[in-house]
Amino acid sequence: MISKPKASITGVGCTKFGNVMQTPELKDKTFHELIAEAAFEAMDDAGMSGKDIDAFYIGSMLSHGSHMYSHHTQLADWLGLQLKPSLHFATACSTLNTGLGLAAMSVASGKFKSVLVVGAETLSSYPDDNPVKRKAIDPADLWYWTDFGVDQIYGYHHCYDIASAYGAFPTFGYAKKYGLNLDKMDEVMYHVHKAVRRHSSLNPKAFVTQDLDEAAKTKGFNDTFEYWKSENNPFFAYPTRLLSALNTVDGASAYIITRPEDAKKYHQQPVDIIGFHWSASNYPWYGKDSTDWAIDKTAFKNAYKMAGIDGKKLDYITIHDCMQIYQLILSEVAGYFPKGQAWKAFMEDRTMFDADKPMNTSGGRHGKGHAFGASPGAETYEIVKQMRGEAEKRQVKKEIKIAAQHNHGYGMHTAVTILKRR
Amino acid sequence: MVDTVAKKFYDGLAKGEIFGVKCKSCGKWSFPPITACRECGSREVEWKTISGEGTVYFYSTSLLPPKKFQQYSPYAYGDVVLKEGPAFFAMVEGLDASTPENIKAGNEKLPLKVKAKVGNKAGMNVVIFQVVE
Repeated sequence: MISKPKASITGVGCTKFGNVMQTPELKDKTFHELIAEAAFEAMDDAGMSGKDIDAFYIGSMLSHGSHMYSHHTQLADWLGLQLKPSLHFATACSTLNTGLGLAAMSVASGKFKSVLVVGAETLSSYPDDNPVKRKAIDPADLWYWTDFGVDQIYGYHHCYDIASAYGAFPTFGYAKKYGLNLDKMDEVMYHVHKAVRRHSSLNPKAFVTQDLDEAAKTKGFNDTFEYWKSENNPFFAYPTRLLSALNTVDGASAYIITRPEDAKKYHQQPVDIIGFHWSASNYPWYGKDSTDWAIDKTAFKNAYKMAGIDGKKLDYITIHDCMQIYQLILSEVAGYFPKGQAWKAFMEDRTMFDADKPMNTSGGRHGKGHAFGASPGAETYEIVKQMRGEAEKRQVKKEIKIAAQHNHGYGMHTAVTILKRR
Repeated sequence: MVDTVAKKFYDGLAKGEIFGVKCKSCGKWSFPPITACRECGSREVEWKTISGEGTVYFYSTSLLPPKKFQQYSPYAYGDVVLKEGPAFFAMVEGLDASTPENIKAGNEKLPLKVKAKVGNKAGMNVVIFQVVE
């Protein structure tokens, strides 16, 4: 039986994802302004002002881009939330998914009636000892800092290679498990990426605006698969190509959590949190079977148990796709597709917004872009907009009553939250 | 009181010894050594040298390796499972990571047996594996 709501989402906000040194909608904005933009959109969406918010939690992962800690003290007045209970929290790239459960527990305890959760990440650049003058971050430095999230006593120092461990081995493993030769697997990943790009091209807040056919034509290719296989898209770590990986971006996202019984005071279409779970594991995350991760199985199983559902009840799912192979592996772990069937679904375009098994309609971590800690909030934003029927050009055709949101937080942490339309 | 673990492990590597810990409670191995059993969480663990025998299941190499290891690029980085049970991912010698085509061909020959040894990489003694068949 489907569980009763534990808490409700009554407002959502999200900035454009891009680069604060280049993207017109973001240009010259500070971390503080990104936070305020997402938070104010969520507060306006819920029809709330600062006096209606009992507490606020700020999620962010890398201080190298923000040049701050104690985000909650520095931002209280920027949000109109002076003297309110607050904290900074992080579970890396799953941060704002974890925030859903954290805020749900906060209102369920009776301590707070409403909590604003807002996250931001600036990965393109940092304030160069001047709040309005930024210096670009060297990608090698960004990955050096990002890798602080992985086993720093052993794993990292023993010639660590994230692209192989997080991208290549699981791709080899999926192909091996289901008898796909590696050329066929490359074709499957091309179809996954086509879905990523179709969705992001329809999302005005996404970083990547061109669908894959347009991108191919721009480079002089009439055959999009030939473009996929060309030197424009080299192997990042064979058999994983560059376009199957994330794009790091700047951006912010936010949502407001209230008690279920109060939700309709703030929004006529609240979205309820009916289950969630988290699981953490040190590196390495798997052994002989690179598609078999205990943290993901644990998180889905316990989130479903709390929600009183199984994967077959889902109308929509979003999977953390820093590497797009996880759209295949984890949609099966989640039970959204039977084992060994996800690759066929992608080949048949069944995961598109206008098909029967929609998923990752924001464009995910490549298309929408990956603003580490804030990225899951963009997926919550997407689910809420889809459930309300407000996703415009990428509005899912079928009715979404129940959805699952999955995120990985580097190191590795899995957060799964189950959402239900009221 | 918690004894030093990391220093003892790296001091062991300097002497050519590769330590793991075996749980006195459940009998499972944890590798590399930590303060509690990775299987059951017990703090009753015994230091022992590992056999070094293992199997590599997959390998690849990154276009953009961490800057600490760029000097070795392209190097074969493998998914290795030790005879004692734990998985440990590290550099594997004896596998060709020079091109995507060679990585593809090399993976078609896996799994292969490997043997652990101590290597000096980027100024540290670390565990690397050598293909033995």
